[in-house]
Amino acid sequence: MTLFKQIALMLSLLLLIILATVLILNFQSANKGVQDRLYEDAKNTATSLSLSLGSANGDLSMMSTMINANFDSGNYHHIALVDVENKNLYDRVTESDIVAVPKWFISLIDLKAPIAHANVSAGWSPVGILSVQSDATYAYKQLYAILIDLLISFTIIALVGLVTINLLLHAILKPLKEVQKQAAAITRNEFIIQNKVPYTKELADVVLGMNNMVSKVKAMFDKGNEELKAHKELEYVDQDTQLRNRKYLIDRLPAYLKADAYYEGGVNMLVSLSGIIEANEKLGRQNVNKLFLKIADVFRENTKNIKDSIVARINGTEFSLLLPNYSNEQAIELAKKIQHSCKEIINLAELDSKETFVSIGLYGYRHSDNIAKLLSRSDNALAQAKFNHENIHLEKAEDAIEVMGKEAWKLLINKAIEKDRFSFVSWSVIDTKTKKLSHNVLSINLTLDKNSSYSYAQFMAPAIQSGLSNSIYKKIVDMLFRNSSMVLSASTYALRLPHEYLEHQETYHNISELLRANAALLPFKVIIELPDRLVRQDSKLIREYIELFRKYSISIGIFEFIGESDDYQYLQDLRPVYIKGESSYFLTQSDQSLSALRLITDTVGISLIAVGVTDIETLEKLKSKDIHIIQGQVTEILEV
Amino acid sequence: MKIYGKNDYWATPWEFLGNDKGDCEDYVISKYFALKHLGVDYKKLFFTYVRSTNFKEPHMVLTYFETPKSEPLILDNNNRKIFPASQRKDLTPIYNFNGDMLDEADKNNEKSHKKWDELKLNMQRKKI
Repeated sequence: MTLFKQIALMLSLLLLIILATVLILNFQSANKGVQDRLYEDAKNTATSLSLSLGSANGDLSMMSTMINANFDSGNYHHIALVDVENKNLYDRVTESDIVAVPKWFISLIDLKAPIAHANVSAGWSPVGILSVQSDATYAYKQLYAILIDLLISFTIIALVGLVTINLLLHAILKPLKEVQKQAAAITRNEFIIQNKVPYTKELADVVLGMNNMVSKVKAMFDKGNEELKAHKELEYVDQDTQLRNRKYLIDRLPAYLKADAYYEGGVNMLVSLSGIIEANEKLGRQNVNKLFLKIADVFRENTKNIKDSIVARINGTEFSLLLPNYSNEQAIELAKKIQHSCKEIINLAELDSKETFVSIGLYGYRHSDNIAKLLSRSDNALAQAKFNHENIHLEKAEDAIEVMGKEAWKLLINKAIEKDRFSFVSWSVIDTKTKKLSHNVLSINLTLDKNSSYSYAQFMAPAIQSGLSNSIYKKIVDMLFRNSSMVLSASTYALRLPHEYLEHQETYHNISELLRANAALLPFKVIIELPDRLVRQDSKLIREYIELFRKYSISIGIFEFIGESDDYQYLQDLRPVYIKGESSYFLTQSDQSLSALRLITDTVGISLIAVGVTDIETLEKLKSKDIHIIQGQVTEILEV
Repeated sequence: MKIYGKNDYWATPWEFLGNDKGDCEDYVISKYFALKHLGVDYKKLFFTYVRSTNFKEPHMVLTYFETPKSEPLILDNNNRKIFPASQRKDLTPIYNFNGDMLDEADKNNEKSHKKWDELKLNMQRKKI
């Protein structure tokens, strides 16, 4: 319960208790007044009537007439005359019929009209005692009217009081709302500085304290951001040519060499410059560096239009140009063009083209290759190129042994989409420090029948090639939010959504509709994993997705993180629950770089998770780098 | 007379003796409580409002009834002798009052007669 509600409730209760007490006291006072009045009336009547009766000289008929006249003219319940021996001489009683007052009121208020007595005498002799009791009907009516008036007045006072309390509390506690907002923002790792310091001293102290804390955390984040940016330059950029380096290539390759890679394959071009020692002798080191700069420009110029290509200097004389979605023929043509341009640069530098020349090895890779294979086959092609006449050699990837043809896959996947043949499988992500399950990562299987099913790695590549990956994701996202409670227990599940699916024009609408209808009913927590390359763009679409997921309390995770951003502010804005990077990425980072990343993630409460951890040895290395949350095959042998 | 600071004040016997003077009602009260104290049944005693034809003014005497129907004896501070009512032609009876009898008639009610109630309270306090 909020403080506002508690105070409002307490004050309202206090007000109502005070009003009720005053009402009861008022009513009791009115009740006593009415009873006193009843007695005074009876007493006055008894005295005056007893004096009148004295003039009757003891004549009972005369006295009865006098009593009747009095009884009939006034509001009396009982008038009685008893003689000195207490014998009844005459009495009159009326039965009250109180119709104007509800019965509950009569039973609640026990109104006893007091009896007044007076001596009656005739001449010297006492006749007896006259008793007069007023009728309570009038008193009941009067009291009931008083009660109704009191209730109306007090209800109005209570309403006005409650409204006033509400308004006053709102005014007094308004700064507290701002303090609460700031505290909530801190909980969400948002850095909000409150410029308006409240008037109330206690609140002002809290605001100043939080402002101070937020400023410090923000400064830490900014420091981490600056440090990481600086390290990125050192870690990923070749200082001579400003091209990417080998480490960058290695860290980026996993995104190209995976089952659900966007490109089926491409060409990796290794360019080597021979005769650099001779060139150094002839031109001097400085001029040779200029030569490298010109050659680097050639590479940049020739790859600028190739989407997602990577140009990296992998050692002093060798460069790698990763050309995704490039055919062997296109690559050979490009190699020739590059070779020609380089030759011109070498000639212009007046070097001997027989001594100083460019060799280009091409390897037509497939997304199913691993990094080692891609690099060794590329090296192999380059070695061949160095010895052939043209100094260009293409090494083709072996034709993959296809389980079935493209068309057959297309048919099968279409049928699976139509007949709901996808099912979820989950992998554990384990925090080795706490020995607890962090969350489960969802993958999908395509099940044909009891005996045959295909894993994600098997069917996703043909699905992408057939342009069916978006349909599959649409299906499984639908499954996750609509029917997942049938198969998934109460826990946390993470689902990766690829770049292409998120950018598809219908996806946002579909997901928002699914969330609107099902998010509140989900028996488990969902984390949607988004690719780092997509989220750091800070596009309108990404902001919309983030807003949508936040609205339905769905957490966001980042995958394929390699820390290549120019600014890490997006991590603060996005505040993902975790960042997933390849284990090789974390292991090859320098301590300074990792520490800067930690500074950023710790200040905004982001966990670092290493994926693709296959053995205990890697796990131990990661632990020594303070990476404790692990995803990969090794989790199968870990005890939780 | 304004003996006790106000007119027609019903003084307790202690006040009356202490002041050594009083109105007719003060004599009546002192006589009433003295006789009651001596064992006379209070039901036989009445404060009687009378009109004195000699003085042509309101007056109060104590009347004693041997039986309810018998002729009362008049105890009057203006006449030191006690006479039956028939021999007091100078007095016209107006009204008889006995507070104790009224009290007895309704034991639940503490109020019976304004002056009597005040007197009772002063008696309890032994006001002098």
